[in-house]
Amino acid sequence: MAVRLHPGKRAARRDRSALLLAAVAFVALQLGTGLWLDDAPLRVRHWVADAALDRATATDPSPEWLFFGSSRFMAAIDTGTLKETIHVPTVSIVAEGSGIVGSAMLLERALDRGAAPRAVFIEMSPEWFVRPPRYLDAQMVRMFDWSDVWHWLPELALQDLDKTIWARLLPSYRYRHELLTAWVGEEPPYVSATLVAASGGSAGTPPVDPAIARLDRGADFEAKPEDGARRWGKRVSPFPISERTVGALERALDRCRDAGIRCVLITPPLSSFQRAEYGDDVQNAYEALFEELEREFDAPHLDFSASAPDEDFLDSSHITNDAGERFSARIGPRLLRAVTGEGPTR
Amino acid sequence: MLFHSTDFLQLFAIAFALYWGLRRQQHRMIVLLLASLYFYARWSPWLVLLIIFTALFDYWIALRMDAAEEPRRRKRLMVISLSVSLGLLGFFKYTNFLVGVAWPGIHWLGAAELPPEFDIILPLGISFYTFETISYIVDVYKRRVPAERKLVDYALFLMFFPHLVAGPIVRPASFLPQLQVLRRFDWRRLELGVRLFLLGVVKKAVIADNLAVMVDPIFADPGAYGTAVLWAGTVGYAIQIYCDFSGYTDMAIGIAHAFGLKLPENFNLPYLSMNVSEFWRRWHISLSSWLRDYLYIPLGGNRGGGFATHRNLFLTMLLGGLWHGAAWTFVAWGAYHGLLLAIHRIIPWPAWLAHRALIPVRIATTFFFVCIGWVLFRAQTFSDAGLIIHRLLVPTDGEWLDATASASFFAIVAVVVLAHAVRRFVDVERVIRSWPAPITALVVAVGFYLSLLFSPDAGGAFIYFQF
Repeated sequence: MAVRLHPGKRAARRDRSALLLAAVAFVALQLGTGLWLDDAPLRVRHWVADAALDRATATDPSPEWLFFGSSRFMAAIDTGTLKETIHVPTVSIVAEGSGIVGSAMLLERALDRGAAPRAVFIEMSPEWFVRPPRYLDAQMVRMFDWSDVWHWLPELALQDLDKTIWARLLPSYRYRHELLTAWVGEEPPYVSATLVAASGGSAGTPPVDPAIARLDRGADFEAKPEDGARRWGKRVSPFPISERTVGALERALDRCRDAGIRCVLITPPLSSFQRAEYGDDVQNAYEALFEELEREFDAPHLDFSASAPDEDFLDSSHITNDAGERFSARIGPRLLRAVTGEGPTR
Repeated sequence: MLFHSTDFLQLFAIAFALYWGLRRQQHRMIVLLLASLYFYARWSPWLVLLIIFTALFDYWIALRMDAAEEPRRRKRLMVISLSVSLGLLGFFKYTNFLVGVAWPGIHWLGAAELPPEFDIILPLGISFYTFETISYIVDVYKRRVPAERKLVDYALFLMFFPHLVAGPIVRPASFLPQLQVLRRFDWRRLELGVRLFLLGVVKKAVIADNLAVMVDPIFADPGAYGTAVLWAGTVGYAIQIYCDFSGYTDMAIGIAHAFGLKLPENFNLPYLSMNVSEFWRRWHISLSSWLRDYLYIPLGGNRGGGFATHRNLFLTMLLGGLWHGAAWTFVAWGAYHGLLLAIHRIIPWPAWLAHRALIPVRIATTFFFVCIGWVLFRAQTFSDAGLIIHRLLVPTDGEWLDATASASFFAIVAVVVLAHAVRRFVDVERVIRSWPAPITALVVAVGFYLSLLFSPDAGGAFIYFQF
């Protein structure tokens, strides 16, 4: 159907008003949705983090030890083995996949929600200290409100700004599943279809929580300790340390100290290929960071980076389930000593 | 690069600002050409060279043809151009198909039993821009249009990004003159463009992509379903392909309006057609009119009497089917429509059939036959198509859709039927123009908001991108 334009200046004025008002209304709708999401419970926007915080703040029993870190911690720490080895009643992993900033943020949220562990273990790695910190634009941005975005804007601007723009300025698209599910009370049909395809399960089955799903050594397992090493190596060369990342960590450590919670910083196993990428300069600068943290916050650093053979690695920074069990059994006593302060930790 | 993606919106915003910021027409055309080249190169930086070659070659041929006085020389130049264009299309699109067709004979001569599979990438939009360049060369040969002197304008005729990959197929006589005129920015045209773009997004992202989630599994395993679900899948696909393709076209036309340019209409409520002949005047209008002007009429049209007319119709539709894809199912789809058109012409329909009361029956009957055609078009194999058509016609039990999918399907069908009824009986444009600006603004803003909200993950390329 061919459409003819209406003649006249009046029609042009009306159309200009309509378009400008439409743009304003669209932006207002998006911002309103974003504010609603900021105010909504965390599970609406980021149910994985919310589930992790639920584990951290569980009662009956409440976890005595909490591990904050990325998928590397998920791979390396086997809570069952730890419990059996050192008889700590409950241990939970609160993994988020976004480095130190993510760990610090989750730790603070957990404390806000009333978590009261005896000890907290935070994953460290040279690349988590590099400026700008990675992955803020991935999962973390799901937890951010406008003040967080403003605070981390210099870092976000250096990453894929598209993701932040989608998340903050077009939430009706970025969080469409979450919004529809929250508003309607059940997943929209296409979400169910996507999940069925992804999980092989039935419609409505939520995907497996990545913080619970461990990395499995399947039948066709082939160790690839070199995978990703080069990529990670490039990120730490040069090694500009993000003072704001260190600041976020210090803030979290400070809160733990005030709450009487013992903090231990852990570098998990890394393949020889990845360690070789760091070089002496990076390694020295990395170790120097912990001297001050240990002195100021009494937070010891345990470096387990060379604690697993290359054949245990799925890639340059993730070990297999089996290796994780062995690693957890081996480090249990050392973690216990670090928490109690009894005997050497190194 | 999809029209409803951030990448495209960024490209559009930059091109739009530069285009209207420049004062000279030639500079504006260069901006559009660069944007079009970037648009294509984002898909394949190498195959953009192919379309550049096509543009340069046919630009040069047309100039030579225009300068030549001798008819034989002009004809020779046209044949060279058509051979190159069709040769490239044939190579990239039909090599594997043709080798497969010829292979029984080659095998009989002693070659291996199975034909080789050549790994040839189908250049995006080649079917569309080949037809555009053919119409240009033929029109210049027949002196319907003069050869374009400005290379940028000719290249833009071929590559203007809104119509580049899936049409509408533009004609030189209607598009090239538009490139000569320095336009003033017009809010009315932009408002119209935004509304058309929104309509396209709703059709594509909300209707077509959501239907695809339901339709795809049915066509992937038709043997599992009974008559009712297969009808739902078939009707769902009929709506999906219409909304997908006409949605793309609406977006393309809307984007062109934003630059002050007009692309031809491609759809006019095709499912309200009362016979197959009318359907083809309302469906993919730019292709059917191209086939009429550059294939059917050169074949003789209806000038040679009954048999010749039917033969020409049949051949035109057969080749039209093949144009859609290098597979026998597309050929069969084209042949099926050729047959329907011939039958429609042969049967002496009684006058009482034209009675108003029978209009719904005629529309439903046409839709039924069109849907049967869509089965041929969509099915992976002939055996799948045969199975589906058999079960559509013979009641069969099978798996049912779950309640949510059924509800979604009926909701979408209801919306589409309602929208068709409104378009049929209401002057929508007039109604919209009667609204105060704030109401239009609210409808547009909420429309875009809801389109984003209801876009499924599975939403991807437009169906016609593969052709």
